[in-house]
Amino acid sequence: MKRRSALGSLIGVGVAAQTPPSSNAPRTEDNVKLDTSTHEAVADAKPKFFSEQQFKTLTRLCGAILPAVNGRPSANEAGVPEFLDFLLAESPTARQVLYSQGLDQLDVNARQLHNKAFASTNAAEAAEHLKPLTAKWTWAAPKDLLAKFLRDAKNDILRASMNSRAWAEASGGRRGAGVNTYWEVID
Amino acid sequence: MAKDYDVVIVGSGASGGMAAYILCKAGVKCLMLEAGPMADLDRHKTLKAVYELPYRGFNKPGRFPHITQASEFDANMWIDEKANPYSYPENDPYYWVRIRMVGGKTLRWGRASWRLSNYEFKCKDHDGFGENWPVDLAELSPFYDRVEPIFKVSGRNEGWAQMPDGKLILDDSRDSTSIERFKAAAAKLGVPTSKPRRSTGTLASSVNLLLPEALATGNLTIVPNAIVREIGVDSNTGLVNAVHFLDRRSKREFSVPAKYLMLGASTLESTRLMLNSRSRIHPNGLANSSGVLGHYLFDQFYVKNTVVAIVPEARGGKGPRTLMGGAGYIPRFTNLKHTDLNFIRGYAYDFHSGGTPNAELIPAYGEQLVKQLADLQGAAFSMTTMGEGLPRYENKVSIHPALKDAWGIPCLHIEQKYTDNEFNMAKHAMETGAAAMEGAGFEVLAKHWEMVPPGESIHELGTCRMGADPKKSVLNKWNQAHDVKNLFVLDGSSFASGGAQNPTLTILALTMRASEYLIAQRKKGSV
Repeated sequence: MKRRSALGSLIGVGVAAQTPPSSNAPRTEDNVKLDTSTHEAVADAKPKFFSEQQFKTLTRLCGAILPAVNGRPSANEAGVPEFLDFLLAESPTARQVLYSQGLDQLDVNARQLHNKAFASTNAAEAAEHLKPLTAKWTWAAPKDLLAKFLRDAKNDILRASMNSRAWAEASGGRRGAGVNTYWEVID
Repeated sequence: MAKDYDVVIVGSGASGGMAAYILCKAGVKCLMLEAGPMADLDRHKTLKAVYELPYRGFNKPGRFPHITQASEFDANMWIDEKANPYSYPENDPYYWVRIRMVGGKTLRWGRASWRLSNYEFKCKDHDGFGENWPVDLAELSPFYDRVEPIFKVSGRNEGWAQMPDGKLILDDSRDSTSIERFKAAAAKLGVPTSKPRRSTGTLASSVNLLLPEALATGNLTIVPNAIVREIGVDSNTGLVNAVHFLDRRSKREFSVPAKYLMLGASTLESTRLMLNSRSRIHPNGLANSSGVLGHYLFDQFYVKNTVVAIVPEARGGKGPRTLMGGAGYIPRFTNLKHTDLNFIRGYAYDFHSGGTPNAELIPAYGEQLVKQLADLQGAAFSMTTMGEGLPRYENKVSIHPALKDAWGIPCLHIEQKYTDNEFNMAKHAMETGAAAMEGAGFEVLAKHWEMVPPGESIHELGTCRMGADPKKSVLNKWNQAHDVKNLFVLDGSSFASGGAQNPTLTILALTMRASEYLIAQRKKGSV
């Protein structure tokens, strides 16, 4: 099993099936398949949700949760902060509150303990605030807001990273990404 | 102008598909009304990379508040929850998981194909709770015998009363050594283990296994995008005489005469339709003189990944190739004889060897997390519990007084709660599963007993149950309404109990039997 699919299976990414990226119909002169790119690959997305400070905090968190390892891109190289900004802008209110308050709490804690923003913490300092991520897993979500936020953010950051174009390119191109059967809109 | 059909079938999934398969091959002219569209599998399914999707596989937030199974890849396959709303008590969510498309949920089912046993059919005789079915295993076995080959079910016969043998494609594959160890440890606890039993093939749906043969007879007409609104009845006899439906796209209304009606719209949709079909002669809903219609809703509760463990020898990819891989099944083993457990009935497990544990189970992040994931790659051993939910009168569906769908059809209010019997069963499953894992020498990484919300297993059953007593049931032993002899209800709503087994195989067998009964009765002129 390739590392990508192994990691993908860990976080419940339903995209691990790696089938050849072929069309169902044979290619002919009338059935041309042209290579295309994606919006994210060619342009910057317009920020929609996080404040400037929250975005910096999230970027630092992404760097801590998934740094570049073994030739795979980091969460930041995979554009995860920008993607989560978009995702959260469209998410239900409860999710938005969790992220906003969680990021703010991380920053407040860092300023209290280290007299600096979480975004400016070094690895050892950041680790003091990410201790909830080293706690034993329980089915029920933690009651503590920061712990709950960190648990959800960890999953989101990993998933958004491994489902990114950057991750696919580091894993061997389109075939290295999670390729699966997509149901088009019917009717 | 309305055409003349012998039978109108509502729904095209397991039950509707099987009804058409049997009836049409016997020369019966059938009209099948399906609420959803017909998918062109060449045109509507394409391969995409997850990064090509606008939400990177996360799906559009809020699009499916109750369908946890929906991914961004297959989002267009599931029902539009906004157009098809329902309600439930504020603190008791119900996850109603639906597909409206020709083929219904057989396009996405898990394919596990277990027969019910007399522990389910004669459950009241066994422990005094609920009601017996008016059929038993001996009566249904000939139909199971014919359904299993159609769906190419593979597995292994064990000769156990709680897991009746079938006409199977023998699965004699060798177990990996991790599974052998687990089975030996389970046996010491008195827990039986077997192979999975699944329908095989690239596609195992009514779309490829049932409907093509029915169409080939020339006796089947399928009309997609036909949302049935109400069933019409003769005001003198109370018998079904018409089906009223709408075009899903235009909302244009139509009616078609019906000599016989076979409902297979899915458990709750069939009941909804009957409750919405009130008339002078059926004031509480069609065929509801018993007052039972809508009641005794139940399902199988699922505890996903009840126990997740690590096979130590597989860490770091060091184990031999024969160590990991494969899957198995544990049928119900509790309360087969008198015991002093704090619950009745029982549960089953699926277990799997291989794969990597979910990252959220690993208490780490950053490089440490990546290292641990690499170390645990392919080393996981997991179990999921499927437990029997008890049919209770108070678990029910009713028509919401105000809520309507996008076509103006009144919607369901769904009330289902699990009770201590299910909770105690789930706790027992967690402890037993963990003990078996530990007995095999595995490291238990996580265990829990919290079940998913009612409905999420997609095994909703009951609400139009069959029974011997017309005062306590809606249908007789032939899936025929006690009150309305030309009405048959074929889907999971007819179940009187459900065990821990996946229900589709039994729905197919019951439908085959009911369809052949209808053919015989028509010949006699007695329906």
